[in-house]
Amino acid sequence: MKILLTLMSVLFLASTTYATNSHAEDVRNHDNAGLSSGEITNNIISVNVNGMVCDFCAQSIEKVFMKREEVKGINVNLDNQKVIIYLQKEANIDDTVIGTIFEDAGYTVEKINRKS
Amino acid sequence: MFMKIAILFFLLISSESLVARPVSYSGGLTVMSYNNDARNSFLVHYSPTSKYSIGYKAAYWQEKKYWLNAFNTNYLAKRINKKKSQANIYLNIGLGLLTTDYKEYNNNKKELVSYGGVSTDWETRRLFSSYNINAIKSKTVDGTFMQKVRLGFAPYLAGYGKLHTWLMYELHHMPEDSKTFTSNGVIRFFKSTNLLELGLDENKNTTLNFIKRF
Repeated sequence: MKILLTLMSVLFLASTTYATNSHAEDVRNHDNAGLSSGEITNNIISVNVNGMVCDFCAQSIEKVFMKREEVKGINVNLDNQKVIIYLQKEANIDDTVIGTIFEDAGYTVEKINRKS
Repeated sequence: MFMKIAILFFLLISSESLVARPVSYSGGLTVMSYNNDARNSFLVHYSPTSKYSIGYKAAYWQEKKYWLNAFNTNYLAKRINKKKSQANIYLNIGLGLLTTDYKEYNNNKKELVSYGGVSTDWETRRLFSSYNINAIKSKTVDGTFMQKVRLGFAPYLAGYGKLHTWLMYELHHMPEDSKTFTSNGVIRFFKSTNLLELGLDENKNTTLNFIKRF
């Protein structure tokens, strides 16, 4: 039992130290336009999402969008509950389709903004 | 006969087991393993939509000395998405075969087993709470009711895709047990689609849980 307690304590301390460092890195990356997967383009859809509080569950958003051929990259931000979708040049995804994709992933869309 | 079917149906819709987020995204495949002093279980499920999942569950109850193999279904009855939180209500049912060679059960016994349950959870990025109520019933070997409350706290907020850590307290209630209430401390780690939990209860029994989502 002592071994398990020691192991749990070490893992906890290591994870908090690791997380503190990586969070600082996140903040720096976020300031320079974040990217969770793929690549950044100028054709951007920004989606404000409700219910996106769990990283483990939010992985589905990245998986589903990155399978679509219109999508070049994606950034999921749990801090502001915002998902940035980077599309191929001239490509588009309808608001209704975006709403359905998020619903299928278990979330609801609050607002969609576009910039290209 | 009708009465037996009615009881079975009631058990199916009103009881059973476990886990946070038993339904994945549309097309998602999840593998889970839960292990403590009472049982070892393995569950694999597929979610055709974000409303329900279907799968297979295998479990070995160490104290009761039997194997359970069952088809398992989870249904998301209600989800409430808010800006900073999410809440869920799930229903769970399963139907399968219980097998044991334990002499107390007259050796080599096989019988139908059913289980079911309701689970709820509410979480923000910092706080987590859940409540499960479960029951399992077979003709002669088992008839168990149990419930579980979990409260969790994230000591730091990690970004998307980073290592997340949760400290959790779990209170488990099983009236048929010699010790009806058991407290369990759990540390949960997850990164990307991998989740690991290590736990230690007041009787110095350990817990090891793992979830992988594809």
